[in-house]
Amino acid sequence: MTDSRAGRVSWADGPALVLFAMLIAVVLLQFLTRYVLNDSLAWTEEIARYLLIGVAYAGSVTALRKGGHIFLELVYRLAPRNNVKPLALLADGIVVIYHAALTVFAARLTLLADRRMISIDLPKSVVYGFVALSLLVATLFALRQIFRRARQGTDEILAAIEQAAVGEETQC
Amino acid sequence: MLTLVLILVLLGALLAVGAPVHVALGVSSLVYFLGEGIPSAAAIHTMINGINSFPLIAIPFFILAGHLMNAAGFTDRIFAFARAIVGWAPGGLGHVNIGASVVFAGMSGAAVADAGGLGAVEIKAMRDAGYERGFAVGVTAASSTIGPIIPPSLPLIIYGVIAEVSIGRLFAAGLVPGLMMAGALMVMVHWIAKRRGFGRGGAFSMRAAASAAGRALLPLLTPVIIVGGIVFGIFTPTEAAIAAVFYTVLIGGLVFRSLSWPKLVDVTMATIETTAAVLMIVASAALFAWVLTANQVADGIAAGLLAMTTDRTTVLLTIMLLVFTVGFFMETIAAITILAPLVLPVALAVGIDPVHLGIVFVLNLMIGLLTPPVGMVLYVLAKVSRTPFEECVRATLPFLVPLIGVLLLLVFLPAIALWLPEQIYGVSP
Repeated sequence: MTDSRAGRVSWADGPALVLFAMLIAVVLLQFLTRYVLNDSLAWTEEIARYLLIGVAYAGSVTALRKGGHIFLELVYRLAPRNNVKPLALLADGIVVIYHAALTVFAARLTLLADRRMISIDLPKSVVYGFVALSLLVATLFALRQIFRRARQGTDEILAAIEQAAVGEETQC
Repeated sequence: MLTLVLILVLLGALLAVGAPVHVALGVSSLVYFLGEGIPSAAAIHTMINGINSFPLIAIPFFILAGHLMNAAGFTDRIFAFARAIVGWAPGGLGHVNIGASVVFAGMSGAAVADAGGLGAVEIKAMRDAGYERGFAVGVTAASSTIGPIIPPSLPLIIYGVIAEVSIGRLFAAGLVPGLMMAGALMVMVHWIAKRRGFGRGGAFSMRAAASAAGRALLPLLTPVIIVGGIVFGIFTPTEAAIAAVFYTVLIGGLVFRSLSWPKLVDVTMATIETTAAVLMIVASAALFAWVLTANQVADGIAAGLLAMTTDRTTVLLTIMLLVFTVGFFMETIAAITILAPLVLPVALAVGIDPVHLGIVFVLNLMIGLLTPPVGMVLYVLAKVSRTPFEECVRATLPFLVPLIGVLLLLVFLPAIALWLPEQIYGVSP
């Protein structure tokens, strides 16, 4: 399903879009070499896995920005109206702290990792560094979300939660 | 032990205040990691490694294929075809609804995507034909759960990665139970239609059927390519997924001319968002699983359960009860990533086939999608059909009976799931 939310593409979606296009190209290449040449290119599998990691973390920024991450909205259906805003702000705060912490951890991992990729000559730190960068951007968007929420009224917050909970996209 | 209880309480509290599932899992696991003095770089490394897996690459492609098929109008053509074939029977559109869901199940891997895409088409057609709103919502909700049982299936891919089971085998195992679900639901529709005296949808017309079949021919080939390709081992699931994307773009772009660049960008962004949401949970769950393993939780559960019984069916029923309870409150992917590592050891200990367990597991969670409080399918349909949530719940209840019936049959007769994979791949190792 496509809905109106999907139509707004921001600069922050760029990296995920590019990596996803590369992922499609690499997997197609693997597919074709396996069937046409009867022998798939060795590097495609490893690179495809790293691209998936990149799509996941870069895409997480998009999901965060659009409220696409899966959460249980039950409490908002049950909570007294006066508690809705404090609860939402608490959840937003937890998201900021978590992403900030992960950014630091990923940065440390980037500096520590000394292994290289198996099939091509690149350090694995490239992957970890990209993850760290994505997490940093996610932290910034999470911060922005808090400031936005603080200015919203209860009805607006409930409408946003309803929209995110029934966002079609994110569920299996 | 005490730390572990604290972590579980923390997880529950974080979920309850509405923090995203992946954040709740991540924060509670990190508290343990840092409390034990394990380096933080190891924590993020565990998470990244959790999604460093080739089979997981099938997920974005199957999601993309599903979106593309909706955008290219495959969904409408398949519905029109099903209508021309079975629309004449009493309660005809109910059967059409189920039939179309089966075909769509062979192309898409998610129940809620089925409900949101096909469901909107189905409910509108049924309302226009004068069916009660409740009946339309009930059939649509129940039939959307066939999606993740018939291959391809996102929940089964995730289960396969966690349980280290062949995804081809899991997909083959889902085919027969999925068709049985459809059959059981059709019996229910027939019964309700007779009792309430629902009309017929007009006489069967050979010419209309032929024309609808012609329009639906190319879309109908998609499930043949995907399901046939995977089940008979021609494609790996990832290859089938990319083939489906390629095929849909080709047909939608060049033959039907119903796909445009803006549409492509739209569905790609939606795909990235869903993929990220799913994979972030898988990554956090890898960290959570590490904490559980370090505390030997699965061993504890296995020992406790095995002390009570070693009977295979009793153990399976107990596991189901656990999955069912969790499925009441938790979303499918999260429930699989948390529960599968916990119950696998005990299941293997009493000789339950992990492939059989996977199908039972997912079907169980699908029924959870139809029950409040966290019935995602119901929320989506309530929104799509502008029906009050309580009415959706009530209308779906009768259709739970055939689904639970199939689930119980599946528990007592593992062969329903295991027969087909054994024919194709041989007896599991």
